[in-house]
Amino acid sequence: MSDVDDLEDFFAAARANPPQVSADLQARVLADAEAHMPKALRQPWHQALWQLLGGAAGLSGLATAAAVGVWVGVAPPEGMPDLAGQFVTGTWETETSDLTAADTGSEFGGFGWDMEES
Amino acid sequence: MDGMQDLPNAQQDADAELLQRYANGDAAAARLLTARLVPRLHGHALRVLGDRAEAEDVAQEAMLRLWRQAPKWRRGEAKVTTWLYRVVANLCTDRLRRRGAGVSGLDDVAEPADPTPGAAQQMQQAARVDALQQALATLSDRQRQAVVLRHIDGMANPEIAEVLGIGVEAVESLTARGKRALAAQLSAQRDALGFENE
Repeated sequence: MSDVDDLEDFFAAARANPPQVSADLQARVLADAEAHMPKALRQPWHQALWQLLGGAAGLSGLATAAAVGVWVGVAPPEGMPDLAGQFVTGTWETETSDLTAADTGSEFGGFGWDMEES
Repeated sequence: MDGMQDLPNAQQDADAELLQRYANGDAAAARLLTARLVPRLHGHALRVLGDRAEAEDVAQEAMLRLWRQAPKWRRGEAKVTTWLYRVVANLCTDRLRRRGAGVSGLDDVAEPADPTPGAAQQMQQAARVDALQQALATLSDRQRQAVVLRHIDGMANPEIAEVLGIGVEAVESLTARGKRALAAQLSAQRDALGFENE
């Protein structure tokens, strides 16, 4: 052999006869793979809530709606009762029915199913 | 080991796809990766170390590191095989350093031969494989790694450079000197190995 190119016959023989992998090695590798396989990721509660609310987009909408609600409550448009203002200033008034008459049965009766008796 | 993912010129490959599936809990992907990669890693380690038990330990350790790396694997930054061969090369280097002495020629690198009609030819092939292994054992560790990667594992010089952590010119030098040494070792056996008629 005078030329290193003749080595190709040896290399070809080596490539054509690869060492066999033992069943034991395959089993060990697969056992490692099973032992180290990543588990399904468990989601923390705050991430679950974040996704439930629609993430950043959903939460921004929610915040906007809340802000508008507060604003309408504090400074209601013309024609709407200023309930929040009355509540804060202590001038809150409620309209209640005078149940006295009802209690006596003189005004209500039969829960609307009264029939005129002839 | 994370730094190994910064190897340049990496391309998406089928192994990376399988590794992603494994990271997502697909056991079948692990079996496919094992079937695709372990024979190559084991074969390389066996030829470099010359010891079957050590080669099996190296192949298992390299695959173990791959399993651990799977969730953090950044696709597109490194070829899985290049990364693995680099792990194997480093593990082999560590073992060779600890061993101190050279590599013995293997008796069982070649596993020929069912007694089939081509049995004689297979025995001749096996004899050539054994002779090559004996000659490889006489090379320096680095020469042997480079020659095996280039001429048996079929790797291109730039990839060998990544695996061994050296420049391409150094790879060319290692393989050239290694082949000259192999030729000198094997020339005396040429007739005995059935080359007289070739």
